[in-house]
Amino acid sequence: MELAFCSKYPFSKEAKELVSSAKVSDEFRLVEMAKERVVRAIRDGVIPAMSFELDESQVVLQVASYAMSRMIVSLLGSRYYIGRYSIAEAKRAGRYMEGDSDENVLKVAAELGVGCEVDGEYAVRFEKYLIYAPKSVDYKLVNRKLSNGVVRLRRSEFIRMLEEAVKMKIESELPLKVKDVPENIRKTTEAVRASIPKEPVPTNITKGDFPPCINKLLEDLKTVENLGHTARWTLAVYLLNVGMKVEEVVRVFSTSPDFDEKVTRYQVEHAMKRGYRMPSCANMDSNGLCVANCGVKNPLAYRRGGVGRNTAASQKP
Amino acid sequence: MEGIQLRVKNPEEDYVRSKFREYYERNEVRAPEQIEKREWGFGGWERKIEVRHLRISSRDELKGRLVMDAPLFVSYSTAYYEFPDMRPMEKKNWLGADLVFDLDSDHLEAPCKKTHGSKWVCDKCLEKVKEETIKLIEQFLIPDFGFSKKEIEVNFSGNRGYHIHIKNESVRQLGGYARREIVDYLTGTGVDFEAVGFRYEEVGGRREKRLAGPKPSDAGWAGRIARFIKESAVSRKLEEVGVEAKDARKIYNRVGEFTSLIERGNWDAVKIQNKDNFWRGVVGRLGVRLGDRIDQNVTADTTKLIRLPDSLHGESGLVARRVREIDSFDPVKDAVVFGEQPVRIKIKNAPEFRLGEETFGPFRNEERELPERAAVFLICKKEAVLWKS
Repeated sequence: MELAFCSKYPFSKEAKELVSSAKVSDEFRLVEMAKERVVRAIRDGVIPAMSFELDESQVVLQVASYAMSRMIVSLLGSRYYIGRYSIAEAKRAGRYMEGDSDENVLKVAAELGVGCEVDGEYAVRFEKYLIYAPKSVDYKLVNRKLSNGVVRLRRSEFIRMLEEAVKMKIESELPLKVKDVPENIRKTTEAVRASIPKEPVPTNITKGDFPPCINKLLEDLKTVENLGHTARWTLAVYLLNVGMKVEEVVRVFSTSPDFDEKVTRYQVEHAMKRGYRMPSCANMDSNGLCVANCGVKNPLAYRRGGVGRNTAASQKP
Repeated sequence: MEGIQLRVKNPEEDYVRSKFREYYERNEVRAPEQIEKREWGFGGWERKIEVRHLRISSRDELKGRLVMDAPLFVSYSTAYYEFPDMRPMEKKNWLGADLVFDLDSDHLEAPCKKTHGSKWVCDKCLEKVKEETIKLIEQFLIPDFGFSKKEIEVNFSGNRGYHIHIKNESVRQLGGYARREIVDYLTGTGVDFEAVGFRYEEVGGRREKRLAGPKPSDAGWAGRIARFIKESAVSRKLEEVGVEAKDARKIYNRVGEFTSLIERGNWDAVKIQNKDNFWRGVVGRLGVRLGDRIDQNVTADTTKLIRLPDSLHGESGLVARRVREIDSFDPVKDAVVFGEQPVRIKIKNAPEFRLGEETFGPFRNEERELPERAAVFLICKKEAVLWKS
């Protein structure tokens, strides 16, 4: 059993075997480490890297802190926190994969159910690619080398895709059903809760007046799905165009699990300054964001009481 | 009295249903895989789906229902559910869905549509939609997506087009986003100039930059675009895709040199003046025309119902026949199931149409005695009524 592997990829089977067979000597230290891991993940979006000159007991502690972190995150009781935590864990694993051997990266991939053949490029089945590839223009299937059912990727792209797979794996396993929570963990959870930002309350915007495409985007935001760049940009431009203030638009986005207030504010302000125009329905369509046939030419026209508003409902039961 | 609905008697509907019933009594209908996990929908005279959220647990039950209800449209879900008859949709518990494509001649905007409208199809539109189906299969599903011929099942839709079912378990778990990506791939939606390899490269000593681009040997859309331009140069059709006439002529004069440059990814000879036009011309020609977003939803929406292969289509009386050899398949011959028995009908309006070897019409406000297959066809089109003198 390779200890470094377990520490880098604590979600792997190998790591699970390690913690189940080994005993943690320093319980106090473990709780502190788990607490730190969760707080940093949720508050900063980053889990700090560890040095690798670890002895076995330290590795066990590391991996065990992951296991305990999952328990704490589960006790926090919110999909939003689970989302943020999973993203930070995925990024951490991604950083390690970048510097790791192909052998180890492929081992992680296999564990995530992603088969891959390497011959200078990284060849992945398109079905897996579509599930795990980031949702952006560069990763759109139409812009990839697809042949014989296989998408060929550069190493960095392959790792970016695996990050997504890690995130989805961790996210789907949480929350754990925790019974009989020991007192110290309950206390630690409350300490964590006090050190992380409050879960954002979704702004109440009346949906009624928005076209179906915008409602869909708003829903996707809420259901903790990570929206692609184009989708976010479109939503922001729409909301600005119907007269929302920058502050309000930022609040709308705050429900997204990978929300970063600084970046969002910068981007929304930028969109405001540049005075971006709302894309036409035809462009919405080519971006894959059109979801109904409302009979307007631009999503903004829908709100102004454009033609055929009622057909939207009748076409998409 | 409760339970008895006052229904306006419609002799045409009754007639068509009785013919459909006879057909279902005598013919076998293949049941889809895992029939008990599918949601079913039946349609009638007014709507293609009048009832849905039905569960049918076996092939025998399906046969029984077809004979008893004689529905005018039979649809089943491409999805598999744990509880196909529960409502609302979330309670069904979605387990996966087949990957299906819908190609309809109505969306190909063939010039003949202007003469006969969308209610009718002619040999030209049927030929066009067949070409599009072959393009989908031979230029995309097989080489790019790697499906084998065996995994690709083609069915005549029963009216104006084809349904392509992918018989491969690997695609069942794909969600809506992934399926939309497949649609975008097939239609060329979102092909990005830079992402497929076009870039302007600095060349020492020249002020203008050199255009580098994809090679014909590249995979995916990159190679598809390069191969197309190479072929267009050879067949002298570059103007059609937005290359200026004088630049095109220069290329034709030295076509051998040009093709070898493209093979190395050197696109400098193609002076692309209007990038957007060029792009639309090229990508628009190469993509599969899968109709508008609503039609594309047959692929992308994982809760859609689709026509049951081997079932009859209530707008034509033709059968949604499985296609074994698409090249030789002739829908208005091979999908005809009704016979020669003469039926007297009053026809409102119909252009000339063909069924089998025989051509009928045009008709306008006339009373005729036609073979059953033509009579059922016109009644289904709602352009004829039974004529009782």
